[in-house]
Amino acid sequence: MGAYIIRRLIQSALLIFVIASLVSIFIQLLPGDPAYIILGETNATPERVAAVRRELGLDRPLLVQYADWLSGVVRGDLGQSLTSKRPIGPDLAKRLPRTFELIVASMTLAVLLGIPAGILAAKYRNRAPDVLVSLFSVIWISTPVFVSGTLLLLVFGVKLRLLPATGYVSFIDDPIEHLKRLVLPATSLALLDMAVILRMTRSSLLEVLGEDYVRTARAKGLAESSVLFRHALRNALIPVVTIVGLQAGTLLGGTVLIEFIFNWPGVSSYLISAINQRDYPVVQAVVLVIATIFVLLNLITDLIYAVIDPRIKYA
Amino acid sequence: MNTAMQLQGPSWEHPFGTDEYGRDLMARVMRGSRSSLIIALSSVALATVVGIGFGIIGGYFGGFWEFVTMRTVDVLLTIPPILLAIAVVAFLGPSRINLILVIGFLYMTRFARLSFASVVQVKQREFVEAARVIGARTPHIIRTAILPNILAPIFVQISLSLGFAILLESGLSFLGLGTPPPEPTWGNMIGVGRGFMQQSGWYVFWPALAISVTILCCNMLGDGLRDALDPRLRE
Amino acid sequence: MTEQAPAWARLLDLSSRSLNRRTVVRLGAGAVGSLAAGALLAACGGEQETQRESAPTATSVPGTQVSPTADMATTPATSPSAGEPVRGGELIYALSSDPPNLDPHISTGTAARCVKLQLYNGLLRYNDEGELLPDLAAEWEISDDGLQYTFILREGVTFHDDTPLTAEDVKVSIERIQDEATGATRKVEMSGISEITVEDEQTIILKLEQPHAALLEYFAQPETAILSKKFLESGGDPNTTSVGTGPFKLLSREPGVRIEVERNQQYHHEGRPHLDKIIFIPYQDENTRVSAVRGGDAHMADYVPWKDMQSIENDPNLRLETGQNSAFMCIQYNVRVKPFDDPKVRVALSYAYDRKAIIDAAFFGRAIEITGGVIPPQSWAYNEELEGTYTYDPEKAKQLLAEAGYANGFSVTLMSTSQYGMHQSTAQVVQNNLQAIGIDCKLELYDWQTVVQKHTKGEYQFRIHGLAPEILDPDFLTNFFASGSPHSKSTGFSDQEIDRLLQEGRAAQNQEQRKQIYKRLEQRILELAPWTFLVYRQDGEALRREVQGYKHLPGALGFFSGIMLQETWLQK
Repeated sequence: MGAYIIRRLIQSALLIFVIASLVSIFIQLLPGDPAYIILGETNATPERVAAVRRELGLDRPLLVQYADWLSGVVRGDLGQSLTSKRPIGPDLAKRLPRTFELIVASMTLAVLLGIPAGILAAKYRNRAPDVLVSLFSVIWISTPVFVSGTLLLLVFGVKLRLLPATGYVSFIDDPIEHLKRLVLPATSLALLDMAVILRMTRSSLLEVLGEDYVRTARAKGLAESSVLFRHALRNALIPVVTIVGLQAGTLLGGTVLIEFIFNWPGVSSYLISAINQRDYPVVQAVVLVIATIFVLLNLITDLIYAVIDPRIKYA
Repeated sequence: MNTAMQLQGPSWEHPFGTDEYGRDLMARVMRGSRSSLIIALSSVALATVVGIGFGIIGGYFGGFWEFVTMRTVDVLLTIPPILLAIAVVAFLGPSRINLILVIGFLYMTRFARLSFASVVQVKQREFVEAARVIGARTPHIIRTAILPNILAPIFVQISLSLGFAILLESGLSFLGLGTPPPEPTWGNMIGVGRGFMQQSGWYVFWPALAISVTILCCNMLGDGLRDALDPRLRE
Repeated sequence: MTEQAPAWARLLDLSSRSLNRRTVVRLGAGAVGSLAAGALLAACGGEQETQRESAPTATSVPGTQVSPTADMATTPATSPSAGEPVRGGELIYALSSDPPNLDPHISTGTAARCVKLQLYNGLLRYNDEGELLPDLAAEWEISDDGLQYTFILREGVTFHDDTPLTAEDVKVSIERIQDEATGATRKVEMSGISEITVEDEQTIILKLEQPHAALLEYFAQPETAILSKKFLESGGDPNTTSVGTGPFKLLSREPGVRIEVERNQQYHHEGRPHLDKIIFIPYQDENTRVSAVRGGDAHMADYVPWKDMQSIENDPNLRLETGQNSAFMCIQYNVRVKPFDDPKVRVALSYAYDRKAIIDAAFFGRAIEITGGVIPPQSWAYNEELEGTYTYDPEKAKQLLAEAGYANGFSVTLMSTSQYGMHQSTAQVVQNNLQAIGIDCKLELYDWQTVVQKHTKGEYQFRIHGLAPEILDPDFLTNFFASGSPHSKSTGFSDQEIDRLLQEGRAAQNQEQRKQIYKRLEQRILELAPWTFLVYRQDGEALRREVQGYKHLPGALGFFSGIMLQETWLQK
């Protein structure tokens, strides 16, 4: 087990390094010049553009720029934003927990609602609850997150005014207000995953319920609830855990649209505005950080998988 | 274009209503289907071909080739597709061809992994061994022995990926990074129409419905194919 | 200044020093134009104008005795509000974009300017009718030849770090703008100042090489704000921090998330600001920005999308502050490429555009057509006679095209951006119009950054642009049409006659004379049609009902509306 963890850790670290390098090189090769953004339309004379490029060090060879950036990253310095001229690290550090919070909240919501609904559907297979729940999941799986997000925002935020429609208040300033503002974006984000988890739970449980050991348990005369929860569920949940882990990536992707719609000041909105402003160092830093998180999430999923699945043995 | 007729609700003349230029929404949604489907189909076709190529090269030849192909896939898989797509499209500029390339390249990973796993399995089967022994050339073996035997799961994946491709394209278009106007796509219609929800909810309703129904069909097709092709379920 | 002083006088807060006669005379001459503009606005019957109560006479205010509208001008704007201003409260302002930097000398758009207007002051300021009023300078004098400007600073002004304002600060600030390394927006204008002399603590003299009739106006813009010498010399970076004299002090800033400013207790306009704090929150998405005000997450939002203006006016909880802006949409032709090198083609196309359709599609009725010159109707230099030069007449366009040798049309590519709805919608109408007269017009929509880059390099055939006069004086045309101006470099257009007229207009001291010059200039521009002017748009802010005292300033001043935040208060 220990060796397995170490091997996976080294693999992950290598992967992150490769991504960092690729992103850095890729960005340098693309057209579009940040000097023009900094100077604006009326100020961007060729001389001024050259001066700004020099000031930013963009006139140096690509390899030098890359080496410079990489050595900074190793020292924990993610560089400086071209537009705000502020160090990226601290700004990113402030935004990261917000995106993370959004993901965790949606995932919790999705699991808390998705698994019970899935169990319900499996238990009453092909009867009213199952049909209802399945219909719901089919609808949400095929609804883009930006449609459901917009809908929730308009209905609950603007029309009914039950919850704040947009924005962010830090937890320290006002915990209640903070949580109220989390509800709509987290729910919008959770819907799709809830549907996926629900379906997975249902089908996995149905499969397990057909297995021999469940039949044995039933034959022993155990109560149905005991069969369901003590015997079937544990095994049925293994693939669900994998799905939850994989969905974390989808959720991260979903935050791009959700943060945009709800003006949630997380990492994804940071990335979008950086891209719009051709703020290369920020784009580099954010992609690196997101990739790192993603790799770590995969790692964690694998490890959890190793722990809960008794059939898997790792040398 | 008749701006006097802007943002009307459904009527006999315009069954879906009109948009902000007074254009018929039904015509726009239908026209949008063209763009959305062209992008989805082409990108998935690209993903299938490239992905199978990667999978076969990595799976059949193994060793160095396996490293190159599968690690490339790993790297691509570490970043959520929409983030990567946004970054690439934002820098290359939104156009249909860029979208197809980006989405195709991103979803190639699914096919590559799938076909890699199948190829590794099929490679060890007797008939492949037999073909090799009688001196068949590699391309021939791949064409006649390997390819036909890995296609079943690929078909399932194609139908599922179509849904994802439409979703991704519409998400990008929604952010203004997809197919540029005036060419309508469902995504950019929703992106623009969202701003008119106060005036006319129909604007966003129709393209959203179109996307949902299409994705639903892709998913059902995928499920159906899986049931039909999975030998365990075939009784 | 006594306690009983009426509100308008408090706003002006003239120091006890009386102005000498010459100042009064010069001011009188300079102010006529803007006052005429004020009168015109009043005549047009904006709602706000008619609702104002008559204020005390303004004979003691220099230059204002000319027109009765002047007293209205100095009354703090009291839109459809009632009651006395309440002190205190926090205002949340949903901004259309995140200010990329806080350096007042580098312009980065209206949203950023709105924030900078809270932190800094210039030597002068505009009032809500476009008149120049004293701000950090209590009085000023211009020599008869127009080459020497003397400013006497207001006494008792301190920076946010409690250091008093002196003439040295002004000198350092102007020199900073002149410095190439700063990259200041007003470098060209300030470079006309050849000598800066600090006469004493409170007096500074600027010498010019050539007279510049519009120079004074630039001192009322945040791009020439006065920074603290001490702050700059101790290595302070105005990009990220701020030491100004403005009504609010910078409290905190997280780029892209929020900027908080709090009341400057020592602000030199007594009793201002009313608010304790303003929180600026940038919204990337315009629909979310509007939803924020609708849902009550923000008190106000700038740049209301035109499509939402009607529904905001209809909403009982909201109010729309809007005014006819002098910002305009236009088409710029790259005259280096065929067939746009031929003025006849440009003239012909100027008849092809359906400006009404643009008004509907892009601005939902919130714009007016430009059929003549681009000097706006609010200006004293407005040329009414040129109205109707270019109207929508596709038949005529076709005929003129045939005369120019393009009976069968041609193929062109129109550049615009997908990032701003008004650009994109205008482009779509224009494309449609051109196709209707047999021109094969392709549309290329890039993101804004790419458009800027291509514009600078002149890599386009023709494009849609949205621009605004930077000052009220018609001299704004220099930045658009003079040879060597950034726009001319981009389009490749230059004309000696236009250059000569621009020079003359800037140097002439007499307004009547200038009016004639600018008329000839506009005629010439329309004849050559290097650009086609399309429409003036209306901009507006959405406010929740409880927000009082704010007003959208008319004309080119619309972009300075942020100055009204010091008059703004929240009804309990």
